[in-house]
Amino acid sequence: MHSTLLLVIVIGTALAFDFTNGFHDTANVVASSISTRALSPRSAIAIASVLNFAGAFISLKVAATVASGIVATGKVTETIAFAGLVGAIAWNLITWYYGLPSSSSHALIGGVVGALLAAVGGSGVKGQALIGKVIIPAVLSPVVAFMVAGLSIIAIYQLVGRRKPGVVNRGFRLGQVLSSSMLSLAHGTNDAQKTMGVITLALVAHGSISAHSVHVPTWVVVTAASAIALGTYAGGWRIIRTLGTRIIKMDTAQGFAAQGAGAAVILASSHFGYPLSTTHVISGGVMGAGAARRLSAVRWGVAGNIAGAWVLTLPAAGLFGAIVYEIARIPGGGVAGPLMILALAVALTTAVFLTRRSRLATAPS
Amino acid sequence: MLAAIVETSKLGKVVLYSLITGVGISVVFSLGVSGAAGLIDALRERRTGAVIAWGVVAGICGAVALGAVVLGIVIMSTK
Repeated sequence: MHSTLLLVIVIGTALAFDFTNGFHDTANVVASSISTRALSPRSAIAIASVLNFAGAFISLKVAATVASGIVATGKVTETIAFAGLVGAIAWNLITWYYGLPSSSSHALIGGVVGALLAAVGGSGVKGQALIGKVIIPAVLSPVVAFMVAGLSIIAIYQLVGRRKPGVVNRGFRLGQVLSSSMLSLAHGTNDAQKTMGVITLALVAHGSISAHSVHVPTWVVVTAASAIALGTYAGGWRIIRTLGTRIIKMDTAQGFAAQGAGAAVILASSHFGYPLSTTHVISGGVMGAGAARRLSAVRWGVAGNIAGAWVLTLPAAGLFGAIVYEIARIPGGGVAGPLMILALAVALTTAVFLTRRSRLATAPS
Repeated sequence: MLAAIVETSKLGKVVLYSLITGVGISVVFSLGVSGAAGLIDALRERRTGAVIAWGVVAGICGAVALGAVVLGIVIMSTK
């Protein structure tokens, strides 16, 4: 049954997910250029928002992978897309509550795949494509970013090591304006497209787009770009308040190398349609730029947590997606199940936010 | 089995393009910064030949780094 109300709910949930994606990831994109004072917080956030918006228009290959490369598009219903999104949001909320590093991208793909497996079984998922297009690039990309940043910083120190630090710092501050801009553009390119892919799946399920000629409508590109840009802007102001406590200490050359490596890997992957975790790629770049100078500069414990989150996120979000799908079916077909889950999700999200806020307020400083 | 699943050629290109653009632009930009530092020193010491040489290095490297970024975006935007 094709329900327009259900389609509206799915699109609204997908855009909310996109907004939180931008909100959550602003720190990764702007942190090092603010900490090295290459950009003022206001400028860094404004540039990141605008370029996240622009990045969403560069390519649609990642959206195509999400919409038709890893799942049997014709088997996805609006309820499955909705359950996948809610499963991803639930997993993101849990990891956020406990402070675990998690990838929104992996959660989104895991949620949709889990809901699809629960609904139609293995025939709905292109298993080999999932491994080849999602899992292997997910493991490979932070390692490549680590290598690129490491090799870059070694070359940079060789080339400018004997120059006066003042001039070199000014030069790399300027370079960071460029690398930070490229990273924002890359982030918008890869992350906004995942939401576009899920909305496209819902449009196919609704019958608005043919499953035989899947394409991303322009209004989907514009709304997804706007949601991620607004999320980036809103998240940025939260970062300003915590500035100076969470930002990684690095010099301007390291910031340039880390951001440049992240941008290069994300843009190259987007060009070939690989949906990556931008958070993990940027973390790989930061660690590479730190490790090339001094191995002990890297917080290897954090690296271990990220590795753990890699392993957990896809199956855990998949499990949540499957559970949400089964709950959505309880009242029977149609829009009743998703509406019930939406009400429950809003209540739970508010409770989690309020609990975490009060926990942070009472925590010893 | 795994070889059939892994898109070796595509993934290889991702690694190669990432290394070439990431490390390449860093090297070229660093040469530009080094050139700018040399230019400032040469200006202070009033060495005309060195001013021209370092100025050319800084200018060319800056232009190449910026050009590579623009070219990358154009390639990505081309369907």
